Parts: sequence; C-alpha cells; structure tokens
Amino acid sequence: MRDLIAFIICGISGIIILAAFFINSSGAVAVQDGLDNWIIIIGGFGFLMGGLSVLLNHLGRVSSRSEGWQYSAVLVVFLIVMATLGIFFDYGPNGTFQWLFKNVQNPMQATMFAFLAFYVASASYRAFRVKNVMATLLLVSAVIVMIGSVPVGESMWAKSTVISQWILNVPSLAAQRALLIGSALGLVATGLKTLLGIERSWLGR
Amino acid sequence: MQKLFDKLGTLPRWFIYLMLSLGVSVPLIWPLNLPLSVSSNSKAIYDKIESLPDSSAVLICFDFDPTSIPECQPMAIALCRHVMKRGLPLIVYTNYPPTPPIADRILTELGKEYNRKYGTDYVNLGFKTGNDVLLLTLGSSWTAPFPQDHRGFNTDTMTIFKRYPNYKKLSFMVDIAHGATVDFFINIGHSQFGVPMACGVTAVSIPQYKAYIQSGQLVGMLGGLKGAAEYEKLVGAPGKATIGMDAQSMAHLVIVGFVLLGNIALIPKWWSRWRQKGNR
Amino acid sequence: MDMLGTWIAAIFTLILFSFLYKDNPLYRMAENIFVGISTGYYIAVVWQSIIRPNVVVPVLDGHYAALIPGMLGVVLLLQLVPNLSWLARYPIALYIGVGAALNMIQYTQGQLIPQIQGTMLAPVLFDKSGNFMAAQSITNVLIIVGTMCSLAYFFFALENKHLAKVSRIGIGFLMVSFGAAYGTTVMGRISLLISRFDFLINDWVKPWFN
Repeated sequence: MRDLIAFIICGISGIIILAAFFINSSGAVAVQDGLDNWIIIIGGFGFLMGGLSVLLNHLGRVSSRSEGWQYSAVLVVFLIVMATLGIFFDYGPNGTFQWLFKNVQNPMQATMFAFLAFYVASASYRAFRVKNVMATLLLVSAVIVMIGSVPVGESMWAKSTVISQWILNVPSLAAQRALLIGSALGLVATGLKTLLGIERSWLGR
Repeated sequence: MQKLFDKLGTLPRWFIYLMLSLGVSVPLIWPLNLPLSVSSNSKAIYDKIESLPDSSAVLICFDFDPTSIPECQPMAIALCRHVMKRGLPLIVYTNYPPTPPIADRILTELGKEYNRKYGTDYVNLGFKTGNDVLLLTLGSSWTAPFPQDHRGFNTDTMTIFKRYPNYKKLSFMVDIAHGATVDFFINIGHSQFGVPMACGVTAVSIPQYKAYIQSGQLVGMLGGLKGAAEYEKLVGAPGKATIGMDAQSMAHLVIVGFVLLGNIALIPKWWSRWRQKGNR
Repeated sequence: MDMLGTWIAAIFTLILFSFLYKDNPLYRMAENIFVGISTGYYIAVVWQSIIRPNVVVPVLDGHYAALIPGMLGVVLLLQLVPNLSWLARYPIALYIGVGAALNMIQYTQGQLIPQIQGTMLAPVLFDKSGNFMAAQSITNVLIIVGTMCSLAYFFFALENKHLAKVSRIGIGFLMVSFGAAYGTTVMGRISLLISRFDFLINDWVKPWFN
C-alpha cells in the first residue's frame, strides 16, 4: 500500500508536467510552476539531508571511538563552525564564513583535482601503447588533439590545429552524436518506465 | 641496447611527476609568449554579443565549482566584461552552491569598472536547486523561484526584472559549466523557449558539445583554458587563462614525449614479432 | 588578512601535495577539514538560498502555502530516522515523477530530434555557381556514415553478421572520438595543475621578492 501511494504520486506529478507541455493554457502552466517550486524546495532539503547524513555518520564514529575517530572529530568541529557561522552570523561577502571558504575550501578542492594531472601523465605513459589497430587510432587521435589544441602545436606546425579541429568536428562528432542519440533514447524510455511504475529502483526495490 | 629500451619503458613515477612539474612551472616563471590564434567557435560568441541590440538582456550562468575555476572563471570574467562593456543588462545565477560568492566578486569589480548599477544593469540571483525544473519555472518568472537575490534584496522591486520578467525575454545566454547543465539549457532554454545560447565548458566536455554546434543548437563554445584565453584576447583583457597557455603547451609536450618514449620502448618487441612473422 | 589567507591556502596546498609521496596524518587531517568545511558551507548556503527565502520568509509574511513544500522537505529529512524513513518515499516520488516526465520532454525535443536532424546532411553539395564542393561533401558523408556505424555498434538486440562488419567501422569512429576525448581530458586536468602552480609561484612566492 505504501509503495502504491508512492507510484500514484510519481505518476500524477509526471502527468502534470506532461499536460502542461501539451496543453497550451495558462492554468496548466501555473499548476506546473507551483509543482516546480515545490521541487526546488524539496531539492534544497535533499542537500540538507546529505549534510546531516555526513554529520551523523562522523558523530557515530566519534562516539564509538572507531579507527580514525580523531579525524572525524576534526570534521565535525569544522562542519558545525561553518554551518553556525553561515546560518546565524556573517554570511556576507567580507565575513569569516566566506573567508574560510575562499582560503581553505577552494584551494584544497582545486588541489585535490590537480592530482589528476599527475595521474593522467603517468597513465598516458603506461597505458598508451600501440598494441593493435584500434589502440593506434586512439593514440594517434589523442596525440594530434593534444598538440593541436595548444599554441606550441601551431608554432611547430600550422596544420596541427586544422587537423585537430577536423578530428573534433568530423569523426569525433559523428561518434559523440551516436552516443547522444543513444542516451536520449535511453532516458526517454527510462522516464516512461518510471512514470508507469515499471522502473522501481528509486524505491530501493 | 635491450636494457636501454627496458629502462625507457619502466621510468619511475617520481621522474614523470618531476618533469611534468618543471614543464608547468618553468613557463610560469619565464613566460614564452607563444602566439595564440582565436578559433571560430569563440569568435562566434563574441560576434553574437557584439551584434545584440542595446535593449537585449543576457544571462550568464555560472555553473562551475572550485575544481573548474582555472578554466571557467577566466571565461566568466571575460564574458561579463564584454556584456558590461556593451552596456547590456546582465542576469547571473548558478546551479552550484559554491559559486554565488565567486560571481559576486567578479560582478562587483566589473560593475565598478564600467559604472553599472546593481538591480538595474546587472543582478546576481545566487543559487537554487532544481537544474532543469528551475529552468522550466524561469520560463514564467524570475522572481517566483528567486524571491530574493544572493545579497538578500527582494527581486520583485528590481528594475531589471520589470523590463525582463522571465527567461523568454532574454536575447542570449551563455552557460559556463563544468557538468551537464548545458544540456538543460539546450533542451529547455533553447529548444522550448527559443533563446539563442552558447556555452563555456571545461576541456573534458569539448568533444561532446561539438555536435550541438553542428546542429545549430549552440552559437559557439569556449573550450577549456584555451577558449578562455581566446576570449580574453578578443575583449582585450589578458588574464589568468592567457598566462596559463605557455604552461599548458609545455605540459602537453612533456606528456606526448612520455607517450612516445613508452612506445619507443616497444620497438624490440615489434621487431621480434615482425621477424617471427617473416620466418613463418 | 589577505596575506594570512594566502599563507593558509599555500600550506594546505602543500600538505595535500604531500600525498603524491605517500599518505600521511597531515594529509588525512587536511582532507577531513576540507570535508567538514565543505559540508558546513553547503548546509549554510541551502538555508540562506532556499529554505529562508522560499519557505521561512513567505510563511512569516502570511503566505502559508509555502508550508506545504517545507513540510514535504522535513518529511524527506526523516529518511535519517530508521523507524520513519519509509515516509521519505513520498517527497522522493514527487521529485522522481517530475524529473522523469521532464526528461522525456526535454531529451526528445532538445537532443533526439535535433541531433537526428543534424545528421540529415546532403552527401553531395554544389555551390551557387554549380561547382561540386568536394571537401564539404566528404565531411557530410563521413558524419552520416560515422553516426550510423557508431549507432550500429550499440544495437545488441539481434545478432547479425553484416551488422557486425558495420559496427566494426563504428568502433573505429568511437576510438577516434575516445582518443580526442582523452586529449581534451588531459588538457582539462593540466589546467587544474597550472592554476595551483600559478597560485604557489605568483601569488605566494613572488611577493617575497617584490
């Protein structure tokens, strides 16, 4: 019964959106807009749920003194400090909240992703070997695009940019288009299955 | 000889990291000033903004987070500079929570430089969840999902929203994105509401969005750090992206060099395989 | 304050780079500080950007209709309470229903139909003077053939010998595309590294010498 109600809600909300698209009336659009505003607010609570889940998870580790609980304690302290500062105190552009975000979080997040450059270089050296025709195509295409996309490529050989752009605009475009068409068909089919109650993975079934 | 080839194929990781670090840092200390050409995709966006009538409102969506700042922020600065220089009303919002303060800093600085008034000439609506659902609502009204802007001011009293009450009144939009938000703007903003658009994406997404340019759904595209550097050149304000191009060039040469070294190490294997085929 | 901020950013950057050598307690500490600050930031932004302006302020102004999505949001939070987590499926159902319907509309009108239209290119082109445009014609043929052959590769429903040959051509196009994607991915990752080095060299170290 609980699942049935969930399916009915899912179906009705989907029908409202579909009806507003096909029925050219301000009433239908108004209902759709009202529903959309609800979704925006529910989405915000979804973010909140994620944050609270992290907090509860690490509080659990601290209270049970599991391995690495000291790190979890540091995490919880900083989480509470940031949330408190942002909600109750200085959310403005020149406050401590934004200062911590700009000088601690931003550089650290950027640095974590900067590691990928080293790993990509190491992976390129180890994995990009000419083993068969297809691997060679991949390698040649990657090398041409890498060289043709930067100023040094153009300085060494003017045609490198033209060939690199041709690879991106013709063969690569064709394959990417196939992926786009395939994924669009898949998404439309999944959407329909979800609205009809055939796709139930979102319920955890 | 065989030992040399073996060594070439098994270089230690620290050596690769060191060479890459040198390849990136040396041009940052001693710039090479390599010439930069502008691609047709970047020029198309520039020409489009240049051709817009004075009463046209432009939306620039800052859909990136701190991981994409190196590529996307220079694009955002150059595009906002162009729109403000032209005197076109500018609306900014984002689908990513970390981005409103970044947008605020950029807009405040440029607003002072070009003497633009907040609320009339430009506005930063801040962040809202919903992505495509939000976009659908914006087709009817800006102020319903955004009753307040990022600074906490009420949006229903702002002049800019009295002149341009919803998304459909825009003349052009650019989504600067590191994720899939460009798809939502293409699918709904362009296909349903009919607003012409372009995108600025990280280099990773370049191949994916070429198909939309060919089909006419995107006016143009700024791709990665190079795209940002090209737009900085077009607006005449070189910045972080232009500085980074020399380092990008050298880093690419280092990586291609290592790829070639790794394949040179395979030459004895290929030679023996070829000889075996010949003996059969 | 700016100088302090730069020093803190530089120290944390170097601590994180130490992971390239090996995992260490300083790195783990920095990682947890990062997660704590990020999560706290997200909670505060969601409050200031969504819950306060879209729920709290309207309700305090007398627009009680905003209570309904607010209550649905609170019900969603009940997912964290083991005995009441079943209630959260209802706001999720609303979200999923809207998302699924919107996906059906937007991906048909924005991706499926326009991309198919974009593939309907003339294989033989002539300019205004009646001269054959070889380069553009070959480009169009390659796009049509490439798209069809790549799509053939993803057709798993029926086994067919002839389709297998066609899909082999498609694999070639896909390999070129993945190579190009790898090349641009390298570009993107290097940009991130350049930004960090630019910060360390030009924003942190250079001022010492000026």
